[in-house]
Amino acid sequence: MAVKGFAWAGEPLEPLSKEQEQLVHERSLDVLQRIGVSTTNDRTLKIMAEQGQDVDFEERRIRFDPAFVEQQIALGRGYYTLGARDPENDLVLDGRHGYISSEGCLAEIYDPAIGDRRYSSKEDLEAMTRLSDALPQIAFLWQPVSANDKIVPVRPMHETHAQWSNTTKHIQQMTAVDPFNARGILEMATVVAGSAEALRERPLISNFQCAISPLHWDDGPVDAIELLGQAGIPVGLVSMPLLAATSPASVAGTLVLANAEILSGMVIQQTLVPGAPTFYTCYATTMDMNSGALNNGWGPEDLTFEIAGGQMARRYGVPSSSGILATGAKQSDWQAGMQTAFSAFEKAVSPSDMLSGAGSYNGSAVFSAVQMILDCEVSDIAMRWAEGYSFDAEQLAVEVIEHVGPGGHFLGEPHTLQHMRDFWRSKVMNRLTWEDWDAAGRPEPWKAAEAEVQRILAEHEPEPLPEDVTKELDRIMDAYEAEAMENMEDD
Amino acid sequence: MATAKPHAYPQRYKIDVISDEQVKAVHQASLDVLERVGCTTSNDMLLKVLADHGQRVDFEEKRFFLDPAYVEKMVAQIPRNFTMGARNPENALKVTGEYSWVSTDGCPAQIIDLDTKDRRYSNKQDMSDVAKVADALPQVGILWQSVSANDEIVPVRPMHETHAMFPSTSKHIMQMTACDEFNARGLIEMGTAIAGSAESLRENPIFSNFQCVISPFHWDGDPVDAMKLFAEHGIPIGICSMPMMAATAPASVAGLVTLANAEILSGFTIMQTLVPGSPNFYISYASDLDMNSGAMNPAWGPEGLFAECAASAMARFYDVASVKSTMGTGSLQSDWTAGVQNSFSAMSSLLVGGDFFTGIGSLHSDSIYSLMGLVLDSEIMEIMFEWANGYAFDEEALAVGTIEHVGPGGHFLGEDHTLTHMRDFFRSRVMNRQTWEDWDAAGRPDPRIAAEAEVRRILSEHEPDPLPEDLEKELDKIMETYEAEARENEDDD
Repeated sequence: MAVKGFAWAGEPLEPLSKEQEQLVHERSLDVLQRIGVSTTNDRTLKIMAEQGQDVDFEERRIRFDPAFVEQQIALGRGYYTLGARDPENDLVLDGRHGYISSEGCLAEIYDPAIGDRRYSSKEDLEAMTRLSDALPQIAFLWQPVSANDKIVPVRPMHETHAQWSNTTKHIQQMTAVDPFNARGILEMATVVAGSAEALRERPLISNFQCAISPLHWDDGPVDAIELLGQAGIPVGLVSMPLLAATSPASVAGTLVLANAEILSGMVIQQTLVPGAPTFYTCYATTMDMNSGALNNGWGPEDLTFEIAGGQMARRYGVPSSSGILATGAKQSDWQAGMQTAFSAFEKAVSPSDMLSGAGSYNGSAVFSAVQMILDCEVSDIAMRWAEGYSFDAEQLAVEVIEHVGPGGHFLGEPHTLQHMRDFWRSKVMNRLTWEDWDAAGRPEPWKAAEAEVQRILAEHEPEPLPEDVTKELDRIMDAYEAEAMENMEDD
Repeated sequence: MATAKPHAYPQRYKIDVISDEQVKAVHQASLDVLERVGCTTSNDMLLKVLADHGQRVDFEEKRFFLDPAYVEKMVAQIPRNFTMGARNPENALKVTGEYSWVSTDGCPAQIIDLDTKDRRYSNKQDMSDVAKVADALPQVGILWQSVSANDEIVPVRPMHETHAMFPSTSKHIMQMTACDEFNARGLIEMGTAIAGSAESLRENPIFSNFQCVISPFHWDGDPVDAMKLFAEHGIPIGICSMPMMAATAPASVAGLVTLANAEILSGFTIMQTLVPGSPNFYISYASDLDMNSGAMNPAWGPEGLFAECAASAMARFYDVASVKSTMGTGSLQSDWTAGVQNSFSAMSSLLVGGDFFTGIGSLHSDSIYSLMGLVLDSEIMEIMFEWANGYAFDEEALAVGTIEHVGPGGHFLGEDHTLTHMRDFFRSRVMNRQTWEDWDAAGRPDPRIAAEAEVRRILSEHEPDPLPEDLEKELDKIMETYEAEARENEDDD
């Protein structure tokens, strides 16, 4: 089944004026020059010093020359294609289309059987991957839930291992933040692709690494950036500041900080691996002022962050990834509908290339298959709207209007019979009359979504992997697991 | 707690969802249709006036055909800018195309009862309650007749519905149930009493009105008389088309948009012939049809949403004020579907623009009103208001000094800048902010519970701008006179 995406023919909607965009850019360069970033990655400190940047080895801090920043990020300019096990699911990134992934990587899952949340397992991850594979609005995958039943040091590999045989779509690995797991995942991807060369040509996986706000890069992520970049794997640079906690209590200040962090990551990446495929990822969000909890998807500030990142990325000429479909709701209620609809509809006119992700509750803390079905419905409406409608003579239907004339109706017209099935139909929304709906116990849409989850999990069988590939993946998994166990015992 | 000053939503983006060529194609097709198909009407006065103005009229078939050049000339007469007054002039709306205002929805015959949570037929007191709640919500700038006064006799019900609103709100009222000359005359009398004189009503029209064509292409006699009378007194008049795709319009989005546009142009031509230069606005409530039940589906899916948006592009092409149809969920309760449909519609309104976003607070495709729905929909509009207004990017907001002060690896929680600004952000009145544990222990409440509490709080606390006592008496007297006349007329029949 071909994947769907947002395609908006108009200019992307920009939440910042050109002057505001320029201010964010300039102040970010100021921040990188005067404040810089700290890092625990000694190699980066050394290389940056060699490149003539102002490095304080004692404080492990790098201050960047603005001209060097501009020069290095220019090396990463350009768009590319995300490969998929089934080439029909390849995603051509061009700054004009937007593709949605599943949400990830949540430690809890909503279990309809118990009507409550619980910790997730590798088996859950397999099931959620299979579900995602069946939904055309899910164009690529994150790791929806954690493999909590696996040991920590090799959990990211397990999370990817669980996905290969359950989807033919592109996998964005977003849990591997150290060179050990990065190497293991690269080995697996190479086996599935057939060769290192084939993987470089059509990268079946991508990855991203996060700065720690404010302005810090940990050691492991930098090594992973380098290792994956050298293999031709697209690696995004992520900033996820929390307004008023790890970034200033202002939208503008949070964007300055996020942009500075992302640019610092791109400079490091392009210095370590010049020309490495990259992407810009701003997951700035707000905080609940009462509890201090993450509030992604909450209100107007989040909606602004979600498309401001795309605007900055277009300025730098690189693909972007943004948040979509988050909700603070703990069930598929009015609030979940409102927050996800705002987020999806905004992307209809301002799509980032990659949009993550569908299927969560409680501020991206609990994965929900039911909510993923509903998110796909929301996305489908927004995608269809963005595509627009034909206004040719057949569709303008002047002759039909003339034929019917004043006071008539169109129900029996051949034009009506021919076109009445052209329109969007809901899978989950209630269409009962009041009386029937009342008699049925006033069902809500999540009930229909729950049935759809069960249907798909019972019926959908993803294209299987060749047996030798499966065996080889299992072997790699076992080898890394053994190595991780050994390292643990050594500690 | 005084009347909340209405939000003026910035028309910041004005996205045209159809291209210039498509706009012109719709325009040309509309002119063709009006020339070749025309409209029927049961209004003899109208037929005569149009014939006097050189239009082709078939008096036998009661049908008129409009010359394209004449239509274009009449539409060009419509003033782009005008004022929608209010009982409290501070709530008046300067209609210029720079801002939009949100109205309540109307006019369902049923309401969700606050106590039973079931639907029931509405009454005049319900109308008063809805007006009071809407008066307290800054997200609302215009009030429709949100529910029918089913406890009043039909011939004078539109007057009762408006009479109920005057003490409960000092915001602009868009009267949308009066579609005959009798009620129009009564409302003008009431409006004149409140404004102080016929001249002040003209300057500060405290209410506006709109009239609907019956799709396809029929103008009933009474609405034409009503809109003529209103317009002669300076009341802004909207021209409304509400075709249903595949039933009263073709089974195509382009055909739906074209039919609605042609009908609205016919109404504009009628108005500008009868009362040249009077303020008119463009209203398309083109909607989908539920292919299963045959019911109207105003906010169902992408087609209806797209047709609503295309109407804004057409109104911009004619340089006239317009309604952007907003909300109107098909859901029977304030659930996920209602959240999705109303948010889509609201955001699309902010994206494409339009002067009046009508309207909020209903369920079941505009057939049941809900006060909880009104509060929830106003939350949707609050998010859109803040989102469309954008954020400051001055040095204080850019906060480079604060970032420098914190430095790598620190945090912003204790910064002066944070303490100064941490209350600047959106705060929800209805969304759940409990931890999972607390929410579970509380019986997993959904936002309807918070919305109901907010409705009850407003009903007990809110005090609208008071109506002077003598004025209230005068309005009651007008109401009684018309009621008596209506009863007499009923007896005569």
